[in-house]
Amino acid sequence: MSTEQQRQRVSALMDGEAGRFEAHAAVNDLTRSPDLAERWERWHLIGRALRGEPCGLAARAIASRVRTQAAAADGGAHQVRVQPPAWLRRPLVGAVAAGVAVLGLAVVLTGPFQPKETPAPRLATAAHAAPRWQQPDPAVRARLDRLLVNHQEQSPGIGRSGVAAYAAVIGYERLP
Amino acid sequence: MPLLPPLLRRPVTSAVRAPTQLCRRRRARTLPWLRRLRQLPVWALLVSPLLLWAGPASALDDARALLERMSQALVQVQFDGTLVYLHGQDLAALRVSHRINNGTPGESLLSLTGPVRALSRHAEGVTCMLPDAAPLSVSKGHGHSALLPTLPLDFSKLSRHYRIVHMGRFRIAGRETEVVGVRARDGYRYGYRFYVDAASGLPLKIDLLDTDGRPVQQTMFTDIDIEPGPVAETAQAASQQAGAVKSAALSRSASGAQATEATGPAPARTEPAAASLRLPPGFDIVSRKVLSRDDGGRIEQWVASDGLASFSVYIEPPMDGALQGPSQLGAVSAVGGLVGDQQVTVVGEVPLATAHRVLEQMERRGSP
Repeated sequence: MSTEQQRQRVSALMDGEAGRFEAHAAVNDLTRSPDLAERWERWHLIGRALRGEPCGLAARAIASRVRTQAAAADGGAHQVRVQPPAWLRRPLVGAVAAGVAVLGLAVVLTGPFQPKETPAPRLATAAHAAPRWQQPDPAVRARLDRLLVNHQEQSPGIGRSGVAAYAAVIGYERLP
Repeated sequence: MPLLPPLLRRPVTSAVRAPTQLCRRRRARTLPWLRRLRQLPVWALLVSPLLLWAGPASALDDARALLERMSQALVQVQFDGTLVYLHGQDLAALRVSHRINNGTPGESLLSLTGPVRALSRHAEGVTCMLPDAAPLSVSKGHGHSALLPTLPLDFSKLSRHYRIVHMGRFRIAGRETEVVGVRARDGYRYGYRFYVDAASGLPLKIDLLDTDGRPVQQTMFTDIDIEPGPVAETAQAASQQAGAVKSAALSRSASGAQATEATGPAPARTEPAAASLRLPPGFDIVSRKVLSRDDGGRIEQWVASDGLASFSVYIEPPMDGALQGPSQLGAVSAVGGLVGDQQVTVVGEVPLATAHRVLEQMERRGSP
């Protein structure tokens, strides 16, 4: 379980307000705490929906987690106070975000989330001309990212170790 | 002489003889130094091929020494900096950090442009936070080195497929660098240009070049703080690590595959997958392992390398989310398709045509 300080640090990271050392600490927290990782994913999902960017729900396998959390909430066992990013704390934006989140929950709970039978539902249309890997299906993109990271961990070669090997994984983003 | 009129014979003869006699007199006076001077072209002729051979050989040695040093510095030197990544017409900035704690190197990358993305490499493996999907984690298996696997530099093999040249000096991020060009001799691989920091040996800029020498992808530090001197505890680990590639095992992660078996370098040509795998010239299988998916499917991974470029071939049962056709991420190419009743995906930092060729060769043979 994450601490309030950790959540604030990750929130600052998402807002671009984290300092150099705070950012590194936040990344380390994220890699060690599944709870923080899930928050990170949820905040990104909401942020992308608000900005009209592709959400990639199919790649997130979010349905099972929503059901799990809903079940936990019914049992009264899920009493975690969420510390959202700063932009979510503003009343108007927060209201819109809540609306989008409810809409997302409704979409998730009303239909089977099987990407092989039905196309992945999108909360927003694509804002970018060419998605990562030039693949419209987020499940394919996620799969390729995994294969690439796995390959980079195995691949030998001069200059391939270190940060340069992962520059494409983290750095690649098409400008709008 | 017989052609000259008789009247002119004597004066002409004397006119010819006069300078010769003069010269003989002069030679008598300046004989020692003139002799040496006359021998100079002969010596020059003898020595010049040696000089011509020694010049490039020395430059080549310099280039190789720089690559060796760079390879060591990447695991021994601690640094923090800002890296820019240029692919096509798009530019991104990353904050990167390389730290060594108790002999174990760790790295973190944080995107400064676009949606926040982060990656952390640590003793347990790699965790990647991308906004597009669930966080992904690749863990190192039991017995895997804390350092990234690197092959010992085999320059005799490299020189068959690359031409290594020392290209001079250049300034990057306010620091002096030595530029080493590694030019591909064919279209199966990219060429490289490394700008190696003169003080630390770190590559401050890496260009990937196509066969015409045009940059396909560039990464460059715009500012960097380098800790003075290598970390002693890591130097020992790095030297122990050199010489063998150890295959890592994947362990169960947030949403990924699990390794069920890990083996070392495997030229095991007797297995069905290896039999159908025909590699482009210069590439050899350096590692193989078997993973398992969340749904229990078996994934076979083969890593091929020419000592510099590398790609992986993944062979698995068909699944949702599998790539069909070509795809690229910067200089990284991927090609996927069904071969027989198996899904084959080729992923690596090689030209798309190379990945295509690997898949096509497997398709021609019918089954992976």
